Amino acid sequence: MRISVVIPALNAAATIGETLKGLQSQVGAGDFEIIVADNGSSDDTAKIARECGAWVVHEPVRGPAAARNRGLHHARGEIIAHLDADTVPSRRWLSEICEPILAGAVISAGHSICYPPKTPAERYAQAVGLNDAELAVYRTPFPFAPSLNLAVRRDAAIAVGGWNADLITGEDVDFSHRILQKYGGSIAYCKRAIIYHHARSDAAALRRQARSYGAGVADLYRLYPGEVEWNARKALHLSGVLLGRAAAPLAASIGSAIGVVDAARAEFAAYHWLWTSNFWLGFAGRAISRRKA
Amino acid sequence: MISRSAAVLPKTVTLRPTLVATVVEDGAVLLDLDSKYFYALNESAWAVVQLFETTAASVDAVLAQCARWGSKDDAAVRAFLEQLTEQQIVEECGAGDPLPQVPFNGEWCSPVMRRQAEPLQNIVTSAFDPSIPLAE
Repeated sequence: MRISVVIPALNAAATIGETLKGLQSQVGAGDFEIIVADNGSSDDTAKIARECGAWVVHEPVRGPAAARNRGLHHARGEIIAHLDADTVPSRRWLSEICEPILAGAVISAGHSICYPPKTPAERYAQAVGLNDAELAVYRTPFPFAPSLNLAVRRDAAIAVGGWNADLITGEDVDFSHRILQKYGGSIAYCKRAIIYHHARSDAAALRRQARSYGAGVADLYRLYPGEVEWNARKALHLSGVLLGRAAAPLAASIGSAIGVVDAARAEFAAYHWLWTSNFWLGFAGRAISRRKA
Repeated sequence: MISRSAAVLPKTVTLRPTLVATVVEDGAVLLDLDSKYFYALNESAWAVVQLFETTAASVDAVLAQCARWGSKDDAAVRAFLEQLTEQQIVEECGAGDPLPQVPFNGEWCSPVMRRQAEPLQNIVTSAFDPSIPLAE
């Protein structure tokens, strides 16, 4: 067995069937096993997964990192590929994302595409490329492979201690960083390893996601103080960015009313501020709570 | 639905390598990495495309296979293949290979392909703005 696909899942009965059907349709990847790491679902996630031929393992500690570790523990493949339980992989996803690893890379990231957006929140997520590995793998100071669409050598994942289960978000940033610290090199980006996924569909869900991402970044500051530090220059720069983004929705709506800014741009400005403000609220909230702790 | 074209149907066809297929509940979706357009295929259309997804297939062999699946209308399959040709989803190739085994258990209906009205949007900016300290 060369490849194990590990899918963390929590109450994913509505979507995991499509994910597994997409895996059953794979071509070119040879023999592989599918492990669904059920994180305490109260719906039919485990039943559907078994019916679709997956091996279901259970992880009582909540969080996708703990669930991925459970899958890693049971996996028999030399390569571990990860999908989220609300994604649909394209026909050659597995062969494409494993190809660079078979050629010597340690970790690879695939190309994730949102379903055609229907709501303002979905349009925003697509416009900024949330979860798009093409942005993430070249990002500094922490290039990373988004966890919804990555593959890694099993021995390397074990050698770095697996996924950090203390992290609820940003665990993929942390995992990728530890892999790159140990093995060097870069994340192999596989443009043809395409999956489809759902973006957050409304403002409330996007707000929660932004706060969660912000909290994850605060954790990275705590974990890697030697590599990122907060200072006055950054605070000043961030203040300018926040002021600019806070003013943009009002300016855009005025511009839209007098016909010099199109409605799409005004919508984007509003959601960009929603994202930015909640991201940094999440960041500040986590930083303060950690300091108190 | 894409209007029927007057594209000249080649004798053999194969899926262009820039097309990425994804199986969905009621057929499949093709994404053209060049044009960024999505194409939704119904189950019959997806069955047909699988005949030349990785190999070259002669049009005559495709028509014969569709007849075995229950097609009583060569013209509908030809029209579908012409659409694929016009949209540059398939390209002409050399000699046809033996057809692969493609399971099709559903009830045959005319193959239908719909192109999404807009291509995949380009990324206009990034929330992970590198100008922000440890970007968002």
